[in-house]
Amino acid sequence: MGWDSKASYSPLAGRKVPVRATDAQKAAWEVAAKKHGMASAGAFLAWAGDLYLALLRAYQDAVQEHDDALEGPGGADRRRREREGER
Amino acid sequence: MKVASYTVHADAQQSVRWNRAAEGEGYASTGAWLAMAADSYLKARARAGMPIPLAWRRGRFRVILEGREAMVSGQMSLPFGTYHGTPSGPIPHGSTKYHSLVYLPTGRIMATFRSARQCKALAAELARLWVRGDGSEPSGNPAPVLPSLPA
Repeated sequence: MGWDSKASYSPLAGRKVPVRATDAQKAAWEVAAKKHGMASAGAFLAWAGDLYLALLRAYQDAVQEHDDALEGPGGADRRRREREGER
Repeated sequence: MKVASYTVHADAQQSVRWNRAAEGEGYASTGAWLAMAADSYLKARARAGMPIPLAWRRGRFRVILEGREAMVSGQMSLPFGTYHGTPSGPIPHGSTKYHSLVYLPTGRIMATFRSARQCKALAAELARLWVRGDGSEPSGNPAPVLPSLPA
């Protein structure tokens, strides 16, 4: 990973999402974008959004796997249904 | 409060997943959710012990050189500054590649490296100690944090 800027968006990225930032956020995102070799803070935001979701999914998969290991396959689903039935 | 605006480009799939996540997590807009995601990432990095690069700007500051004080030009990110030179003094651009890191409140040179980038990397690490120390100098030892290179 270097400091060189490069294209950071897919050519298919045709939609636009407006993001507002405080001065502190602006500074932090711009430095982080540079550090990650991205062309702009916007590219860093897009990357961070995808990373956030990927990590969240990995976390949920790990919890599911752990629950299944404790209660057998489908254990997590069973417990979720039980919780929902209690409400 | 001053607020900046960015436009983030997304493909159709990204747009759908970000919108869904923003709605699911109760954010008023997808932009607000993206801002949270970026801030969360930077906070996680900080918690993981990885230094976050500081934001630098050009400026002039006081430094205690070998036997004298001087004002030098360089880059600043409080409480640190870097300049092109050694503890002997600034070096004309292009002559050698030595760069020194300075603790600005005292003007003390903390280390001398072969690149400004290395100075900035150390400053990012020391910034954590500086914050933990509630603004006190990162090292209690008056000796430089890293041995300086000979001039």
